Amino acid sequence: MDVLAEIARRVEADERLSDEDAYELMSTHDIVGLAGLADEARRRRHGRRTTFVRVLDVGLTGPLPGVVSAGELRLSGTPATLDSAIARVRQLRSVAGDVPVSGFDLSDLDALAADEGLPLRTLLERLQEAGLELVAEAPVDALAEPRAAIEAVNMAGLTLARLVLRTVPRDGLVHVLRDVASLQRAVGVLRTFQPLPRRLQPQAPTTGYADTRQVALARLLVDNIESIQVDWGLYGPKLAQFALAAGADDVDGVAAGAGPRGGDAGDEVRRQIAAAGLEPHERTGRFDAVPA
Amino acid sequence: MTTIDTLAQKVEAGERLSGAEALELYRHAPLHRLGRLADRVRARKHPEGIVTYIIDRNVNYTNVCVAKCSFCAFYREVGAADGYVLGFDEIFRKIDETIAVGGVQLLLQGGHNPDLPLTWYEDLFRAVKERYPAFKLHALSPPEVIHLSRLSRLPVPQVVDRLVAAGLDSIPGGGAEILVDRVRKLLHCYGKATADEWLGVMRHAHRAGLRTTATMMYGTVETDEERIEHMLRLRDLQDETGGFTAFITWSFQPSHTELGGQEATGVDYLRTLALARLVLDNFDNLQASWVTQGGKVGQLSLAFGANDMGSVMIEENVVRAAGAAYCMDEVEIVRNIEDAGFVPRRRTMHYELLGGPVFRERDVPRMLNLAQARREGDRSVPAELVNYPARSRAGRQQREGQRSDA
Ligand code: SF4
Repeated sequence: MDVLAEIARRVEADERLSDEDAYELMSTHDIVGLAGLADEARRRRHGRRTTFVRVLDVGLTGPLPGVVSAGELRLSGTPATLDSAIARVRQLRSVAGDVPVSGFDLSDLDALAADEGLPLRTLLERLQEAGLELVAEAPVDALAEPRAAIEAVNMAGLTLARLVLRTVPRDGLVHVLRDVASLQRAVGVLRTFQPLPRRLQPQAPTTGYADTRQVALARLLVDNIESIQVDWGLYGPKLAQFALAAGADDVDGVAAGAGPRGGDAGDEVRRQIAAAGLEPHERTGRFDAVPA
Repeated sequence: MTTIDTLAQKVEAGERLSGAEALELYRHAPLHRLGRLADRVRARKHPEGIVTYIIDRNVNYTNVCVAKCSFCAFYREVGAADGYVLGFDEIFRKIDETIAVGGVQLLLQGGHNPDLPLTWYEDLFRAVKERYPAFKLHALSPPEVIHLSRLSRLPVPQVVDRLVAAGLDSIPGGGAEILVDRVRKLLHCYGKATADEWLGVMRHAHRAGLRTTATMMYGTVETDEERIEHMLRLRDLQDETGGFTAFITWSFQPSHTELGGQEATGVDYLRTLALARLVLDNFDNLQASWVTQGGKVGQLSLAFGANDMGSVMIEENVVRAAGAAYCMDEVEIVRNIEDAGFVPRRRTMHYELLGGPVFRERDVPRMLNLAQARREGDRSVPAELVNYPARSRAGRQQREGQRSDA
């Protein structure tokens, strides 16, 4: 308890936490105390402001979905060839109006570039020319050279929508989070970081404590990335809402149109954010505010 | 010093909160502050760091119900094609399966079926006790007891006494919803039991030497004040009798119900749970409702005042009917308890410790889905029903049919 209070004092003074502090937080069972510290840090940066983006997920094949109001149209899946990816981006771009088109996992694109015998940057430029605006995600734990890959995104005139972790870090969370902060110091373009693993393991799901710890530590240790994000669709409203009280300030993966239980998913997210004592603000994939 | 600081000091000093103070904390204390306060009280009451759970099976003996509560997705009307009554043999089979995974009791609740007289329950309880003398029956919530009292035209104390004589061990706190009659009228559950009637059954049960649990289903039409009034009414009865072993709260599950609407959020659940830990200062045990909140918020409940993970359940029908389908077997419950830094211990309904996890002592099958009362489409009618008089016309016809088939 005393150790946490001492760390809290340093968080309040905006001091950078030492590795010793980080390991202390990593091993504490005072999960509410830890969430409170992260919430403190989040409120100093964002106050009660909590952003969310409504995303329409679009597969790489099949007919395009009907028009719904969305903040981002996101192509998901692994493209077989660059030509097929370009064709799909063009197709989606032609119906997207002013909604940004995002898509792909940067590590998949890196592998595709190797298959096609192209530099990653060239491949990204071709996708950008076809109408892609954002690369949907960069899994820091799956990229051989995260810094070079993210710089290629930038050089190609694209934006990286989010840095993510694909799986639960094997080498220790503190180590990975320190690496993420260093990566941002090197590239400077990361807007959001999603610390909860993108790949779920249904046979041994992560626990509420583990998810909370991961979000809170991301907020406290990765203090140079503006937004700590949680995926509403992937983690569900109960955990995602609690994550907003544990350091997260941005919600990804809100379904455009009806949610899984019917009703407008955007309205439901607003209600959940407000019920956590926070202020909901819708944004687009370009991080622009959507007028209420 | 803010009002919240003053109230926090009061809680830390072990003083009792008034209704107005509870309301102030519920509405204005920051989430983390409320959680940590509840956690302090939990730690004070349970300094050994143990989190308990019970291996029992949640069996719903019938879904036929005349009460028709507007928040219920489980019941079927008398005569409905998918209405069911479990046979004694089906219940014995469920008990065998429960014992096989280390279970010690059935939580037996059901609809208010006009075609099951008191003698059916007595015969069932006796038959269970004859076959499984050590196995416990945690059965029949207060509204079911009241229903039996009306059906048999016997006073509640006499019904309870007869059920105890037949083998009833303890009474579950279901059917409390919110113990405020304005709310009960709006939810169409005033008729099944008023707030005073619910408390009256529990008072009698406690005086008769039975221990019971208490529950609260929130998130329908009640105000914050009424949620707190519910807690205060339970606290008063606990002062009087000391008969409640635990308090369990869960949020209304709206899918497929007449009432409909939206479910209260997970954060609201944690706030309500934490508040209950602060208000119910004479309750030792608070359960986490992972079946409505999911495993993750269920585990986080242990940081918001809960000291018990409830039941492994094995089977669940009521919450499932309203759309939630979370499952945790003993392995999963124990993993969550240990991950949160606590020591897992199996217990009885009376919170006597039984030991560590069963699966560490012997091989038990993993249970990745909760069972249902019956297989989909099973319309069988138990043979023994023919021996019991039915009250409804549909029930009488069905018994006639059984007789002529025999
Ligand atoms: S909650 Fe119980 S009493 Fe009410 S309708 Fe459902 S089964 Fe019947």
